[in-house]
Amino acid sequence: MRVFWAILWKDVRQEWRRRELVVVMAVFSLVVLVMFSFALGIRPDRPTEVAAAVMWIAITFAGTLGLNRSLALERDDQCLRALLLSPADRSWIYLAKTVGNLLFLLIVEAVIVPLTFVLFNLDVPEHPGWVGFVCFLGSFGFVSVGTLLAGMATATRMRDWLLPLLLFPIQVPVLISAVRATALLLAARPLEDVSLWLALLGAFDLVFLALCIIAFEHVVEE
Amino acid sequence: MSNSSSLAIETENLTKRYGVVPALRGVTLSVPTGTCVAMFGPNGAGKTTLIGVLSTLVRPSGGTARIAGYDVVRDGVNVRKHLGVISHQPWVYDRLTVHDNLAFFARLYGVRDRERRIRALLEELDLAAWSEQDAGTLSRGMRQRLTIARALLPDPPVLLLDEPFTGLDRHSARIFADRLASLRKQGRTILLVTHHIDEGWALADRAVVLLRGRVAHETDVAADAASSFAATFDALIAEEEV
Repeated sequence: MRVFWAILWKDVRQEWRRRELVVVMAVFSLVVLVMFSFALGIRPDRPTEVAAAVMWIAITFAGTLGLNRSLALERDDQCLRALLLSPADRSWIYLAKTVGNLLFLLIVEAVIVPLTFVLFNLDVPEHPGWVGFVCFLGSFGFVSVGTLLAGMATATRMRDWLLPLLLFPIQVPVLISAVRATALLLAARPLEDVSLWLALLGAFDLVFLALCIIAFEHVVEE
Repeated sequence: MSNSSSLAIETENLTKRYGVVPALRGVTLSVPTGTCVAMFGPNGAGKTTLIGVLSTLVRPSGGTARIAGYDVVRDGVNVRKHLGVISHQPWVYDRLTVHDNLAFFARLYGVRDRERRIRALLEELDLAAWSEQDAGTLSRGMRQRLTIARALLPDPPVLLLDEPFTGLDRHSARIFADRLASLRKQGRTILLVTHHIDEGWALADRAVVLLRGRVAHETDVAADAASSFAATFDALIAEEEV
């Protein structure tokens, strides 16, 4: 646990001093959101489906940027080796980086999600807490796999394009579940309709997390 | 598994291959507790790979390696509890201050009485005046001193040093050499990898030459002279090149 808190503290402190990662992610996601909202316009036939899909596209793109940068910082300063020398199970390093990345992505989502309602002319959802919960589950699934793959990709010269190439296909089930659940909640459908997608999201998150914890040690070892 | 071994570092027929390229080809090495071994070798001899395997960063392809009696593959956590590693690369965060870097690594390595230990190392390595400066703004020599402070934070009984003098000016090199000498007196075990025979010879009890992933020559420093060792070293390299 000590290693987990130490790395999380360091990532937050580094970001607080520079405000590099969150600002770049937020600006990029805003650009994506605005571009799509202008391109698609307001779709009276399927407003919630379109808004949910565009919102998750913006989250995914911004998240990929953040993941690449977060692990690249460790590699640029050659500090991943110093982290790996800590006398603790290496799973804690993976978990700390994952939670740090999740935290930064959730901060960006605090901007993107309300803006989606505005740009797509949607009412505030009946269950805003559940929308937040879907964002948490979807983002967790995204960063749990993304942190592992970013760790792999940053070790290569092809890191800029390798991460999305590996990450997006694996993320398809999480993204479909997140988009469907968000669309249903935005359409004010009863929670029973959403529960299947929530269960799927939770299941994917757990499976991805378990697999990534097991794989991390092998990924970082030379 | 025990840590009561009289050998702090022990490898037997250690091998490492990267694909089809062999980096270590059966290295057998013993470093008794409280001694210093200097390892010399040309670029590509496998020195950094050996340090990587001993520090659990690189998985060996074959053979065994132990630190303080703990196997590097099966008991990595205990191995890392006994190790301090200094490389020629800094391994510190450019975007954190000198103090924050040390505070982070002290938390990471579970150092007790953190602030006192950090202050002591900053004073000892002549970094106290720069403690609130970003590590990225320091000179190469000062960054290397910060790296040394990072590695010494948990007061490890075994030190693996991979070209630690690289980038140090005379002042920094002297501070570091004095610190290593005092660590030796305190009974720490040191494996020092370097290109500089004079620096290594001055600190070591034994000298080892690594060539093409194998131990090619070993000698006791007390029983040999630096000049004769240097001549043997040059002859071995010339032989390899032929």
